[in-house]
Amino acid sequence: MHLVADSIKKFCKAYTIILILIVMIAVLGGCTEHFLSVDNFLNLFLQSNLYGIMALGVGMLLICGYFDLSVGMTMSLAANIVIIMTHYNTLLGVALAILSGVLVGLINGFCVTKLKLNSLVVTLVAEVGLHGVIFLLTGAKSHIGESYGFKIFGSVAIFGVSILTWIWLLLVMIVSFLLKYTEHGRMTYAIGSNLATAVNSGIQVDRVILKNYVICGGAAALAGILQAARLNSVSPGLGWPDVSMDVLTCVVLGGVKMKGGSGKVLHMVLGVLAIIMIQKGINMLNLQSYWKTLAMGLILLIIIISDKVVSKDTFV
Amino acid sequence: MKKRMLAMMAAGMLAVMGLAGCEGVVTTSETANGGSTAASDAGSSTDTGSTAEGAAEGAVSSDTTEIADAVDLQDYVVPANPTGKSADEIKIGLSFAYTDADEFTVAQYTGAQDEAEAQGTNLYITDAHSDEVTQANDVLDLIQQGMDVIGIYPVNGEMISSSIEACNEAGIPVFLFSTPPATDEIEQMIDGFSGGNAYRLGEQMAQTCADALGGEGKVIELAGLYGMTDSDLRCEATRDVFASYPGIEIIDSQEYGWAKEEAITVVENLLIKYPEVDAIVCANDSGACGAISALEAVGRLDEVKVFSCNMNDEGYEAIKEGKLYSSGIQDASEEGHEAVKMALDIALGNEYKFYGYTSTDVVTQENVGEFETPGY
Repeated sequence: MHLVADSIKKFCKAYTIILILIVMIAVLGGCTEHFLSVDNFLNLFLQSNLYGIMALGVGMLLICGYFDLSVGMTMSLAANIVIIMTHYNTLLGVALAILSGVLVGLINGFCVTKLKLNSLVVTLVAEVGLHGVIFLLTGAKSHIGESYGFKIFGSVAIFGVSILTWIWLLLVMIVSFLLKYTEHGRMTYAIGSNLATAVNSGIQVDRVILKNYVICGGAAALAGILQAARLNSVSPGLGWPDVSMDVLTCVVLGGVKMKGGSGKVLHMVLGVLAIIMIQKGINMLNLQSYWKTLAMGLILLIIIISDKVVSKDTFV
Repeated sequence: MKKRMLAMMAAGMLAVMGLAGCEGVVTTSETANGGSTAASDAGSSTDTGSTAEGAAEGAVSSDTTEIADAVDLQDYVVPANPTGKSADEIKIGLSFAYTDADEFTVAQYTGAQDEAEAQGTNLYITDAHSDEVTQANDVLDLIQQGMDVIGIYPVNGEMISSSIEACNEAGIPVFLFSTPPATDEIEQMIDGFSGGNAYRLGEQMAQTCADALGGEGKVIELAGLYGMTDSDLRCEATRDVFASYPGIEIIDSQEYGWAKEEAITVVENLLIKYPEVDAIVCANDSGACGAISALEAVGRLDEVKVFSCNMNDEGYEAIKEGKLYSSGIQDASEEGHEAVKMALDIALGNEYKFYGYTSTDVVTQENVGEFETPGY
């Protein structure tokens, strides 16, 4: 009896997000006529790729026990840079945008590792500061892209699937590989599960964390570039103020522990799909939008409770 | 290890850059010509070449031509072209920028729902929570659900073009509501606009001002933000009205970024520069209340009348206290009703006005009791 209960617990613990997704798909598929269609799922992936790409970086950092709440503005900065640069040289714009993300990552990483500042505070400050930078850079004006090639790139589909989705899936595979099969990945898990042990076993902790911040900034910038290509326009208010928290929610929903040390890339992807599906569900069921906030809260609560019930650890 | 990671990142970057650049950097103005409207566009010939200019200049020049077109198209009536459908089989999708931020949008939202119920049609509403990306996703969802017509209240007037394009490609008629089209291109891509009339608000304010001054006086104009559609239309209207009053002179025009604090500074400086001022006209109540503060500080409020054209709570109180001479108000609930009516007209193929403006009222000390405080 005890064994059965135990294995149910184990299953729930490992697959909470999958169970939630199955329930959501069943409910939405049963209640709306257009939900269970190929087109709809292709849309779901297209709609998810912004959060999805950012979640990869945030997830890696969270696995090693650190936060990045500046991804929203890093994404927005890159999107603004690339759209403004389409008026001059798009390729240079893409390079500058990626560089901006890497730079933000370096600064965040430096403050966290060398100055030993709390990562939550540092990246929150970075988020606010970058918001100002974006308004200064754009003169508080919206811009429309001028490069025909860039615009076309954002709407290209390969085998009916948007190129943005393909890039996301490619990045998912790269990050999975990175975390599973490389030394860097193993060290990331090691630092997250026990910092002291990691230091004692000779891991160059600072370097690993710094690298993860750079990856996180770069991923956010890439997400910004792809989003800019999709919309072919940008406003200085893009991504403010909720995106960073939403991405963190996706990652946590995907089963990455807030204290680090565990988490799977595939589950993060499912976490993103679940969050986007909530908005989609509200749209398709034609419910008042206040339900979205309630649904988000309830689902997170379920996750927290199931986490607490099945394991002795505290959630945070 | 480090090298391998760097190589990977570099390869990824190169791949993206290569793809992005494969079409080359082509500056072209043909990006937005797939319009579905039959609206004539005689005034846009001045626009050629502006899209190839730098970012800031491009934005400004396209906005100024937009004003000319908005006035040209103001009375355009889309001819009837019955689709043979009935209201109960029509699916209307409305994508709101937000529905919960202030009482104005709540009233819009409720108005739209009431109208849909009264007409017996099917209304689907999405809420983007003020996020551009969410709105793009929302419009995709509405297209996916096979709407007969889609109305959009854009989070951002410029960023909405890709969503409108998506509707055009899907063959679904699309119109804007609440916020008018920000550019010429967008105007060409939509089937109509329903909402408040920024030009009329400015016109009514200027007329009230001219009457109060007895057709003579020195006026300072406070513009919200140069280059922004709403602000420019209000200024344009003011000029047009004052043109028929040779005794009224606009001695200066400054922008205050819709912010009260900025308006205080601007007016303080202008009051030093001009010892003789009879009136200040403002794009909204934030500016008017800023002007009132600045005037009170130097004790000149009794000699300068302040006018505004978009009321907020502070302005409502200022009118009651007799500090603000007049302001303008838009009926949010009517905007919701009219959005659904326009959607039905488009889907059924009825005759309708391309620019379906909702009513605007002037609020003065005499009639302020008839209005409720706006709640924002």
